[in-house]
Amino acid sequence: MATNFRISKSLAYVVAVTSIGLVVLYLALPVIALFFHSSPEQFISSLTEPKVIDALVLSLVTSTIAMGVIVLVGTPAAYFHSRMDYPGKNIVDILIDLPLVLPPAVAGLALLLLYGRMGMIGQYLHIFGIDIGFTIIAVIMAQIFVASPFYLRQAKALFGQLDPSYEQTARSLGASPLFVFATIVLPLTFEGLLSGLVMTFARALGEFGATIMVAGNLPGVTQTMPLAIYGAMQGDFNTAITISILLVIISFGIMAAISILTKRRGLLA
Amino acid sequence: MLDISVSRQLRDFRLSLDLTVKPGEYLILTGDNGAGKSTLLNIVAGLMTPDQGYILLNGTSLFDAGKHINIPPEERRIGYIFQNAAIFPHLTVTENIAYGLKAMGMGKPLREKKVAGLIDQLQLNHLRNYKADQLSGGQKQLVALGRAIAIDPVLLLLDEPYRALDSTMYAVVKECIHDVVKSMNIPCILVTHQISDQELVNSRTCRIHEGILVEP
Repeated sequence: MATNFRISKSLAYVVAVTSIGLVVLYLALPVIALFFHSSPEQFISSLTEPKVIDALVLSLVTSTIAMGVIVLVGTPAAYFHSRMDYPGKNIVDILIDLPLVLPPAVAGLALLLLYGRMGMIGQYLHIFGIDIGFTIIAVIMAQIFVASPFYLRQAKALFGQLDPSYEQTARSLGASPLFVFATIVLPLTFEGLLSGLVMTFARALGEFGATIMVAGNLPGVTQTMPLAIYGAMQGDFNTAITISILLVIISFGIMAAISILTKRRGLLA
Repeated sequence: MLDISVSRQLRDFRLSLDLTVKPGEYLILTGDNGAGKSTLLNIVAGLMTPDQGYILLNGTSLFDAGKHINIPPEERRIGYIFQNAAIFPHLTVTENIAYGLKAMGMGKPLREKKVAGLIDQLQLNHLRNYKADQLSGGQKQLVALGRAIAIDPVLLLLDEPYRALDSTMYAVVKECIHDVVKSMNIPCILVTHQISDQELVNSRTCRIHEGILVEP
Protein backbone atom coordinates (compact mmCIF):
# COMPACT_ATOMS: atom_id res chain seq x y z
CA MET A 1 0.00 0.00 0.00
CA ALA A 2 2.77 2.36 1.07
CA THR A 3 4.83 1.35 -2.01
CA ASN A 4 1.91 2.02 -4.34
CA PHE A 5 1.47 5.45 -2.78
CA ARG A 6 5.20 6.20 -3.24
CA ILE A 7 5.06 5.14 -6.92
CA SER A 8 2.00 7.24 -7.68
CA LYS A 9 3.58 10.21 -5.87
CA SER A 10 6.79 9.84 -7.91
CA LEU A 11 4.78 9.51 -11.11
CA ALA A 12 2.84 12.67 -10.30
CA TYR A 13 6.13 14.44 -9.65
CA VAL A 14 7.57 13.33 -13.01
CA VAL A 15 4.40 14.35 -14.90
CA ALA A 16 4.33 17.72 -13.12
CA VAL A 17 7.98 18.55 -13.81
CA THR A 18 7.78 17.39 -17.46
CA SER A 19 4.55 19.20 -18.31
CA ILE A 20 5.47 22.46 -16.56
CA GLY A 21 8.95 22.25 -18.11
CA LEU A 22 7.47 21.81 -21.59
CA VAL A 23 5.15 24.79 -21.12
CA VAL A 24 7.99 27.01 -19.86
CA LEU A 25 10.34 25.93 -22.67
CA TYR A 26 7.73 26.34 -25.39
CA LEU A 27 6.81 29.85 -24.25
CA ALA A 28 10.22 31.10 -23.17
CA LEU A 29 12.45 29.78 -25.99
CA PRO A 30 11.10 32.04 -28.77
CA VAL A 31 11.56 35.06 -26.49
CA ILE A 32 15.09 33.96 -25.59
CA ALA A 33 15.85 33.48 -29.30
CA LEU A 34 14.95 37.13 -29.90
CA PHE A 35 17.41 38.33 -27.27
CA PHE A 36 20.17 35.96 -28.55
CA HIS A 37 19.95 37.37 -32.06
CA SER A 38 20.78 40.88 -30.98
CA SER A 39 23.73 42.31 -29.09
CA PRO A 40 23.13 45.19 -26.62
CA GLU A 41 25.09 47.52 -28.96
CA GLN A 42 22.96 46.57 -31.95
CA PHE A 43 19.80 46.98 -29.88
CA ILE A 44 20.75 50.45 -28.64
CA SER A 45 21.88 51.68 -32.07
CA SER A 46 18.66 50.44 -33.75
CA LEU A 47 16.63 52.08 -31.00
CA THR A 48 17.70 55.53 -32.15
CA GLU A 49 16.61 54.95 -35.74
CA PRO A 50 13.82 57.35 -36.76
CA LYS A 51 11.52 54.58 -38.01
CA VAL A 52 11.77 52.77 -34.64
CA ILE A 53 11.13 55.97 -32.69
CA ASP A 54 8.23 56.90 -35.02
CA ALA A 55 6.65 53.45 -34.64
CA LEU A 56 7.12 53.50 -30.86
CA VAL A 57 5.60 56.97 -30.47
CA LEU A 58 2.73 56.17 -32.84
CA SER A 59 1.98 52.90 -31.04
CA LEU A 60 2.04 54.50 -27.59
CA VAL A 61 -0.09 57.48 -28.69
CA THR A 62 -2.71 55.45 -30.58
CA SER A 63 -2.93 52.75 -27.88
CA THR A 64 -3.37 55.40 -25.18
CA ILE A 65 -6.12 57.16 -27.15
CA ALA A 66 -7.84 53.81 -27.87
CA MET A 67 -7.64 52.94 -24.17
CA GLY A 68 -9.09 56.34 -23.22
CA VAL A 69 -12.03 55.95 -25.62
CA ILE A 70 -12.70 52.41 -24.39
CA VAL A 71 -12.74 53.58 -20.75
CA LEU A 72 -14.91 56.63 -21.40
CA VAL A 73 -17.55 54.78 -23.41
CA GLY A 74 -17.03 51.26 -22.04
CA THR A 75 -17.32 52.03 -18.32
CA PRO A 76 -20.87 53.40 -18.36
CA ALA A 77 -21.86 50.85 -21.04
CA ALA A 78 -20.59 47.93 -18.94
CA TYR A 79 -22.19 49.37 -15.80
CA PHE A 80 -25.66 49.82 -17.27
CA HIS A 81 -25.39 46.51 -19.14
CA SER A 82 -24.70 44.68 -15.89
CA ARG A 83 -27.44 46.51 -13.97
CA MET A 84 -30.27 46.46 -16.53
CA ASP A 85 -32.33 43.83 -18.27
CA TYR A 86 -33.23 44.75 -21.83
CA PRO A 87 -34.26 42.97 -25.02
CA GLY A 88 -31.29 41.62 -26.95
CA LYS A 89 -28.92 41.67 -23.93
CA ASN A 90 -27.56 38.23 -24.87
CA ILE A 91 -26.80 39.44 -28.38
CA VAL A 92 -24.93 42.43 -26.95
CA ASP A 93 -22.92 39.98 -24.81
CA ILE A 94 -21.96 38.05 -27.94
CA LEU A 95 -21.09 41.26 -29.80
CA ILE A 96 -18.81 42.34 -26.96
CA ASP A 97 -16.95 39.02 -27.13
CA LEU A 98 -16.92 38.81 -30.94
CA PRO A 99 -13.60 40.63 -31.55
CA LEU A 100 -11.88 38.04 -29.34
CA VAL A 101 -12.65 35.20 -31.73
CA LEU A 102 -12.89 37.13 -35.00
CA PRO A 103 -9.67 36.97 -37.06
CA PRO A 104 -8.17 40.52 -36.94
CA ALA A 105 -7.95 40.55 -40.76
CA VAL A 106 -11.73 40.09 -40.91
CA ALA A 107 -12.18 42.90 -38.39
CA GLY A 108 -9.93 45.14 -40.51
CA LEU A 109 -11.79 44.34 -43.71
CA ALA A 110 -15.12 44.98 -41.99
CA LEU A 111 -13.91 48.34 -40.70
CA LEU A 112 -12.64 49.21 -44.17
CA LEU A 113 -16.02 48.36 -45.70
CA LEU A 114 -17.64 50.66 -43.15
CA TYR A 115 -15.26 53.61 -42.87
CA GLY A 116 -13.22 53.32 -46.10
CA ARG A 117 -13.67 55.92 -48.83
CA MET A 118 -16.26 53.69 -50.53
CA GLY A 119 -17.59 52.28 -47.26
CA MET A 120 -21.10 52.47 -45.87
CA ILE A 121 -20.32 55.47 -43.66
CA GLY A 122 -17.00 56.46 -45.25
CA GLN A 123 -18.59 57.49 -48.57
CA TYR A 124 -20.71 60.12 -46.81
CA LEU A 125 -17.82 61.32 -44.65
CA HIS A 126 -15.77 61.66 -47.85
CA ILE A 127 -18.32 64.17 -49.17
CA PHE A 128 -17.40 66.42 -46.23
CA GLY A 129 -13.70 65.89 -46.86
CA ILE A 130 -13.27 63.42 -44.00
CA ASP A 131 -11.30 60.28 -44.85
CA ILE A 132 -10.73 57.69 -42.14
CA GLY A 133 -9.15 54.81 -44.08
CA PHE A 134 -5.33 54.75 -44.04
CA THR A 135 -5.06 57.48 -41.40
CA ILE A 136 -4.09 57.49 -37.72
CA ILE A 137 -7.83 57.49 -36.92
CA ALA A 138 -8.15 54.14 -38.71
CA VAL A 139 -5.29 52.78 -36.54
CA ILE A 140 -7.12 53.89 -33.38
CA MET A 141 -10.45 52.49 -34.61
CA ALA A 142 -8.87 49.12 -35.35
CA GLN A 143 -7.26 49.08 -31.90
CA ILE A 144 -10.55 50.00 -30.21
CA PHE A 145 -12.36 47.23 -32.11
CA VAL A 146 -9.96 44.42 -31.22
CA ALA A 147 -9.00 45.57 -27.69
CA SER A 148 -12.38 46.64 -26.28
CA PRO A 149 -13.49 43.15 -25.12
CA PHE A 150 -10.57 42.97 -22.69
CA TYR A 151 -11.93 45.95 -20.77
CA LEU A 152 -15.66 45.44 -21.35
CA ARG A 153 -15.67 41.82 -20.20
CA GLN A 154 -13.72 42.66 -17.06
CA ALA A 155 -15.85 45.71 -16.26
CA LYS A 156 -19.09 43.80 -16.91
CA ALA A 157 -18.03 40.99 -14.57
CA LEU A 158 -16.86 43.36 -11.83
CA PHE A 159 -20.02 45.48 -11.88
CA GLY A 160 -22.17 42.33 -12.05
CA GLN A 161 -20.47 40.83 -8.99
CA LEU A 162 -20.82 43.98 -6.91
CA ASP A 163 -23.53 43.53 -4.27
CA PRO A 164 -26.34 45.96 -5.29
CA SER A 165 -27.19 46.55 -1.62
CA TYR A 166 -24.12 48.84 -1.36
CA GLU A 167 -25.48 51.12 -4.06
CA GLN A 168 -29.04 50.90 -2.77
CA THR A 169 -27.92 51.78 0.75
CA ALA A 170 -25.89 54.71 -0.56
CA ARG A 171 -28.91 56.01 -2.51
CA SER A 172 -31.15 55.73 0.56
CA LEU A 173 -28.53 57.74 2.49
CA GLY A 174 -29.03 60.68 0.14
CA ALA A 175 -26.34 60.03 -2.50
CA SER A 176 -27.09 60.83 -6.14
CA PRO A 177 -26.40 58.06 -8.71
CA LEU A 178 -23.21 59.85 -9.82
CA PHE A 179 -21.99 60.23 -6.23
CA VAL A 180 -22.70 56.53 -5.62
CA PHE A 181 -20.72 55.58 -8.71
CA ALA A 182 -17.76 57.76 -7.73
CA THR A 183 -17.66 56.83 -4.04
CA ILE A 184 -18.87 53.22 -3.96
CA VAL A 185 -18.79 51.50 -7.37
CA LEU A 186 -15.45 52.84 -8.65
CA PRO A 187 -13.40 52.35 -5.47
CA LEU A 188 -14.72 48.79 -5.07
CA THR A 189 -13.91 47.81 -8.66
CA PHE A 190 -10.92 50.06 -9.34
CA GLU A 191 -8.12 47.50 -9.20
CA GLY A 192 -10.01 45.04 -11.39
CA LEU A 193 -10.82 47.77 -13.89
CA LEU A 194 -7.19 48.84 -13.91
CA SER A 195 -6.01 45.32 -14.67
CA GLY A 196 -8.57 45.09 -17.53
CA LEU A 197 -7.31 48.41 -18.78
CA VAL A 198 -3.70 47.27 -18.81
CA MET A 199 -4.69 44.19 -20.82
CA THR A 200 -6.59 46.45 -23.23
CA PHE A 201 -3.54 48.64 -23.69
CA ALA A 202 -1.36 45.57 -24.31
CA ARG A 203 -3.78 44.22 -26.92
CA ALA A 204 -3.99 47.61 -28.67
CA LEU A 205 -0.22 47.88 -28.67
CA GLY A 206 0.19 44.48 -30.31
CA GLU A 207 -2.59 44.94 -32.87
CA PHE A 208 -1.51 44.07 -36.43
CA GLY A 209 -4.06 42.33 -38.67
CA ALA A 210 -6.96 44.77 -38.48
CA THR A 211 -4.63 47.78 -38.61
CA ILE A 212 -2.85 46.73 -41.80
CA MET A 213 -6.20 46.13 -43.53
CA VAL A 214 -7.88 49.41 -42.60
CA ALA A 215 -4.89 51.73 -42.08
CA GLY A 216 -2.17 50.27 -44.28
CA ASN A 217 1.51 50.37 -43.36
CA LEU A 218 2.61 53.97 -43.95
CA PRO A 219 5.83 54.83 -42.04
CA GLY A 220 5.32 57.78 -39.70
CA VAL A 221 1.57 57.84 -40.39
CA THR A 222 0.01 54.46 -39.65
CA GLN A 223 3.04 52.25 -39.06
CA THR A 224 2.76 51.03 -35.47
CA MET A 225 5.39 48.78 -33.90
CA PRO A 226 3.95 45.44 -35.10
CA LEU A 227 3.62 46.88 -38.63
CA ALA A 228 7.16 48.23 -38.46
CA ILE A 229 8.41 44.71 -37.61
CA TYR A 230 6.55 43.41 -40.67
CA GLY A 231 8.04 46.19 -42.81
CA ALA A 232 11.57 45.68 -41.47
CA MET A 233 11.41 41.92 -42.15
CA GLN A 234 11.70 42.78 -45.87
CA GLY A 235 15.37 43.77 -45.42
CA ASP A 236 16.28 45.33 -42.08
CA PHE A 237 16.26 42.29 -39.84
CA ASN A 238 18.08 44.00 -36.93
CA THR A 239 15.43 46.71 -36.71
CA ALA A 240 12.70 44.05 -36.70
CA ILE A 241 14.46 42.32 -33.79
CA THR A 242 14.94 45.60 -31.89
CA ILE A 243 11.25 46.52 -32.14
CA SER A 244 10.30 42.97 -31.18
CA ILE A 245 12.51 43.09 -28.07
CA LEU A 246 10.99 46.45 -27.21
CA LEU A 247 7.49 44.95 -27.46
CA VAL A 248 8.54 41.96 -25.36
CA ILE A 249 9.89 44.28 -22.64
CA ILE A 250 6.71 46.40 -22.67
CA SER A 251 4.48 43.30 -22.65
CA PHE A 252 6.46 41.74 -19.82
CA GLY A 253 6.14 44.97 -17.83
CA ILE A 254 2.39 45.01 -18.46
CA MET A 255 1.97 41.41 -17.31
CA ALA A 256 4.08 42.09 -14.21
CA ALA A 257 1.85 45.09 -13.43
CA ILE A 258 -1.27 42.93 -13.76
CA SER A 259 0.27 40.28 -11.54
CA ILE A 260 1.02 42.84 -8.82
CA LEU A 261 -2.49 44.32 -9.11
CA THR A 262 -4.12 40.89 -8.92
CA LYS A 263 -2.08 39.94 -5.86
CA ARG A 264 -3.01 43.18 -4.14
CA ARG A 265 -6.67 42.53 -4.91
CA GLY A 266 -6.32 39.02 -3.51
CA LEU A 267 -4.92 40.42 -0.29
CA LEU A 268 -7.72 42.94 -0.02
CA ALA A 269 -10.48 40.42 -0.69
CA MET B 1 -47.22 58.88 9.72
CA LEU B 2 -46.69 56.51 6.80
CA ASP B 3 -49.66 55.72 4.61
CA ILE B 4 -49.23 53.18 1.81
CA SER B 5 -51.54 51.76 -0.81
CA VAL B 6 -49.51 50.10 -3.56
CA SER B 7 -49.59 47.21 -5.97
CA ARG B 8 -46.93 45.72 -8.19
CA GLN B 9 -46.87 42.62 -10.34
CA LEU B 10 -44.14 40.25 -9.18
CA ARG B 11 -43.04 37.09 -10.96
CA ASP B 12 -45.62 34.72 -9.50
CA PHE B 13 -48.17 36.99 -7.86
CA ARG B 14 -49.32 40.59 -7.43
CA LEU B 15 -48.14 42.49 -4.36
CA SER B 16 -51.16 44.48 -3.18
CA LEU B 17 -50.94 46.25 0.17
CA ASP B 18 -52.65 48.99 2.18
CA LEU B 19 -51.10 49.93 5.50
CA THR B 20 -50.50 52.77 7.91
CA VAL B 21 -47.69 53.16 10.46
CA LYS B 22 -47.86 55.87 13.14
CA PRO B 23 -44.85 57.79 14.50
CA GLY B 24 -43.00 55.76 17.13
CA GLU B 25 -44.85 52.60 16.06
CA TYR B 26 -43.27 49.36 14.87
CA LEU B 27 -44.96 47.53 12.08
CA ILE B 28 -43.56 44.03 12.29
CA LEU B 29 -43.81 42.15 9.02
CA THR B 30 -43.52 38.40 8.94
CA GLY B 31 -44.06 35.91 6.16
CA ASP B 32 -42.39 33.20 4.14
CA ASN B 33 -39.35 33.87 1.97
CA GLY B 34 -40.44 35.44 -1.31
CA ALA B 35 -43.79 36.60 0.12
CA GLY B 36 -43.01 40.23 -0.81
CA LYS B 37 -41.62 41.65 2.47
CA SER B 38 -38.32 42.96 1.07
CA THR B 39 -40.11 44.11 -2.09
CA LEU B 40 -42.39 46.26 0.05
CA LEU B 41 -39.39 47.82 1.81
CA ASN B 42 -37.70 48.48 -1.56
CA ILE B 43 -40.89 50.11 -2.85
CA VAL B 44 -41.16 52.38 0.19
CA ALA B 45 -37.45 53.29 -0.07
CA GLY B 46 -37.90 54.15 -3.76
CA LEU B 47 -35.60 51.38 -5.00
CA MET B 48 -38.51 49.71 -6.81
CA THR B 49 -41.49 51.37 -8.44
CA PRO B 50 -45.05 50.17 -7.87
CA ASP B 51 -47.42 49.79 -10.83
CA GLN B 52 -50.23 51.59 -9.01
CA GLY B 53 -51.03 53.38 -5.79
CA TYR B 54 -49.47 55.99 -3.54
CA ILE B 55 -47.04 56.39 -0.66
CA LEU B 56 -47.59 59.27 1.76
CA LEU B 57 -45.04 60.08 4.43
CA ASN B 58 -45.96 62.78 6.96
CA GLY B 59 -48.37 64.25 4.43
CA THR B 60 -45.76 64.40 1.64
CA SER B 61 -46.35 62.30 -1.44
CA LEU B 62 -43.33 60.07 -2.15
CA PHE B 63 -45.11 58.20 -4.89
CA ASP B 64 -48.39 58.70 -6.66
CA ALA B 65 -49.04 56.79 -9.87
CA GLY B 66 -52.06 58.96 -10.72
CA LYS B 67 -50.14 62.23 -10.32
CA HIS B 68 -46.90 60.82 -11.80
CA ILE B 69 -44.98 61.58 -8.60
CA ASN B 70 -41.97 59.39 -7.83
CA ILE B 71 -39.43 60.95 -5.46
CA PRO B 72 -35.98 59.34 -5.98
CA PRO B 73 -34.56 57.35 -3.04
CA GLU B 74 -31.90 59.94 -2.22
CA GLU B 75 -34.59 62.56 -1.57
CA ARG B 76 -36.87 60.39 0.58
CA ARG B 77 -34.79 60.57 3.78
CA ILE B 78 -35.56 57.01 4.76
CA GLY B 79 -33.15 55.01 6.90
CA TYR B 80 -32.91 51.56 5.35
CA ILE B 81 -30.96 48.73 6.93
CA PHE B 82 -30.44 45.69 4.72
CA GLN B 83 -30.23 42.07 5.88
CA ASN B 84 -26.46 42.03 5.31
CA ALA B 85 -26.01 45.54 6.79
CA ALA B 86 -24.19 46.49 3.54
CA ILE B 87 -21.29 48.17 5.33
CA PHE B 88 -19.16 49.78 2.61
CA PRO B 89 -16.07 47.56 2.73
CA HIS B 90 -13.55 50.17 1.63
CA LEU B 91 -14.56 52.69 4.31
CA THR B 92 -13.96 52.70 8.06
CA VAL B 93 -16.77 52.66 10.63
CA THR B 94 -16.46 56.44 10.99
CA GLU B 95 -16.52 56.99 7.22
CA ASN B 96 -19.51 54.66 6.87
CA ILE B 97 -21.51 56.61 9.44
CA ALA B 98 -20.47 59.91 7.85
CA TYR B 99 -21.35 58.76 4.30
CA GLY B 100 -24.91 60.09 4.13
CA LEU B 101 -23.94 63.42 5.71
CA LYS B 102 -21.14 63.82 3.16
CA ALA B 103 -23.52 62.92 0.31
CA MET B 104 -25.93 65.59 1.53
CA GLY B 105 -23.12 68.17 1.55
CA MET B 106 -22.80 68.73 5.31
CA GLY B 107 -19.59 70.61 6.21
CA LYS B 108 -16.70 68.68 7.76
CA PRO B 109 -16.75 70.20 11.31
CA LEU B 110 -20.49 69.65 11.73
CA ARG B 111 -20.23 66.17 10.18
CA GLU B 112 -17.39 65.09 12.46
CA LYS B 113 -19.27 66.34 15.53
CA LYS B 114 -22.43 64.48 14.58
CA VAL B 115 -20.58 61.23 13.73
CA ALA B 116 -18.63 61.39 17.01
CA GLY B 117 -21.93 61.74 18.89
CA LEU B 118 -23.44 58.72 17.13
CA ILE B 119 -20.32 56.61 17.69
CA ASP B 120 -20.57 57.48 21.39
CA GLN B 121 -24.29 56.74 21.51
CA LEU B 122 -23.86 53.32 19.89
CA GLN B 123 -20.68 52.57 21.88
CA LEU B 124 -18.57 52.03 18.79
CA ASN B 125 -15.58 54.08 19.95
CA HIS B 126 -13.15 51.16 19.93
CA LEU B 127 -14.19 50.28 16.34
CA ARG B 128 -14.08 53.74 14.73
CA ASN B 129 -11.16 52.88 12.41
CA TYR B 130 -12.22 49.31 11.68
CA LYS B 131 -13.42 48.14 8.29
CA ALA B 132 -16.33 45.78 7.55
CA ASP B 133 -14.20 42.62 7.45
CA GLN B 134 -13.01 43.30 11.01
CA LEU B 135 -16.55 43.59 12.42
CA SER B 136 -18.91 40.93 13.80
CA GLY B 137 -22.47 40.62 12.46
CA GLY B 138 -23.89 42.57 15.41
CA GLN B 139 -21.27 45.31 15.14
CA LYS B 140 -22.11 45.68 11.44
CA GLN B 141 -25.79 46.12 12.29
CA LEU B 142 -24.92 48.82 14.83
CA VAL B 143 -22.79 50.65 12.26
CA ALA B 144 -25.63 50.34 9.72
CA LEU B 145 -28.02 51.76 12.33
CA GLY B 146 -25.67 54.66 13.08
CA ARG B 147 -25.27 55.36 9.37
CA ALA B 148 -29.05 55.26 8.81
CA ILE B 149 -29.97 57.56 11.70
CA ALA B 150 -27.15 60.01 10.90
CA ILE B 151 -29.29 61.50 8.15
CA ASP B 152 -32.17 62.13 10.62
CA PRO B 153 -34.57 59.83 8.77
CA VAL B 154 -38.32 60.32 8.89
CA LEU B 155 -38.89 56.57 8.58
CA LEU B 156 -36.83 53.50 9.42
CA LEU B 157 -36.92 50.30 7.36
CA LEU B 158 -35.22 47.25 8.85
CA ASP B 159 -34.87 44.05 6.85
CA GLU B 160 -34.12 41.19 9.25
CA PRO B 161 -31.55 43.14 11.26
CA TYR B 162 -31.15 40.35 13.83
CA ARG B 163 -30.50 37.56 11.39
CA ALA B 164 -27.56 35.38 12.43
CA LEU B 165 -26.82 37.38 15.60
CA ASP B 166 -25.91 35.64 18.84
CA SER B 167 -28.20 36.24 21.83
CA THR B 168 -25.97 38.95 23.37
CA MET B 169 -25.66 40.99 20.18
CA TYR B 170 -29.33 40.42 19.42
CA ALA B 171 -30.26 42.05 22.75
CA VAL B 172 -27.84 44.96 22.18
CA VAL B 173 -28.96 45.68 18.59
CA LYS B 174 -32.63 45.30 19.50
CA GLU B 175 -32.31 47.75 22.40
CA CYS B 176 -30.45 50.27 20.24
CA ILE B 177 -33.08 50.12 17.51
CA HIS B 178 -35.84 50.40 20.09
CA ASP B 179 -34.20 53.47 21.69
CA VAL B 180 -33.75 55.14 18.32
CA VAL B 181 -37.36 54.63 17.21
CA LYS B 182 -38.60 55.86 20.59
CA SER B 183 -36.33 58.91 20.81
CA MET B 184 -36.80 59.97 17.18
CA ASN B 185 -40.53 59.19 17.29
CA ILE B 186 -40.57 57.94 13.70
CA PRO B 187 -42.53 55.09 12.12
CA CYS B 188 -40.58 51.87 11.64
CA ILE B 189 -41.20 48.80 9.49
CA LEU B 190 -39.34 45.76 10.77
CA VAL B 191 -39.14 42.56 8.75
CA THR B 192 -38.25 39.73 11.08
CA HIS B 193 -38.73 36.09 11.93
CA GLN B 194 -37.78 36.45 15.59
CA ILE B 195 -40.88 35.70 17.67
CA SER B 196 -39.73 37.89 20.59
CA ASP B 197 -39.75 41.00 18.38
CA GLN B 198 -43.48 40.71 18.22
CA GLU B 199 -43.59 41.53 21.92
CA LEU B 200 -42.05 44.98 21.34
CA VAL B 201 -43.87 47.88 22.99
CA ASN B 202 -46.03 49.88 20.58
CA SER B 203 -45.79 47.26 17.86
CA ARG B 204 -48.24 45.74 15.46
CA THR B 205 -47.63 42.49 13.62
CA CYS B 206 -48.78 41.69 10.09
CA ARG B 207 -48.05 38.70 7.95
CA ILE B 208 -47.59 38.87 4.19
CA HIS B 209 -48.64 35.91 2.15
CA GLU B 210 -48.05 36.04 -1.60
CA GLY B 211 -48.17 39.82 -1.63
CA ILE B 212 -51.32 40.20 0.48
CA LEU B 213 -51.47 41.30 4.12
CA VAL B 214 -53.12 38.74 6.37
CA GLU B 215 -53.66 38.85 10.12
CA PRO B 216 -51.23 36.76 12.17
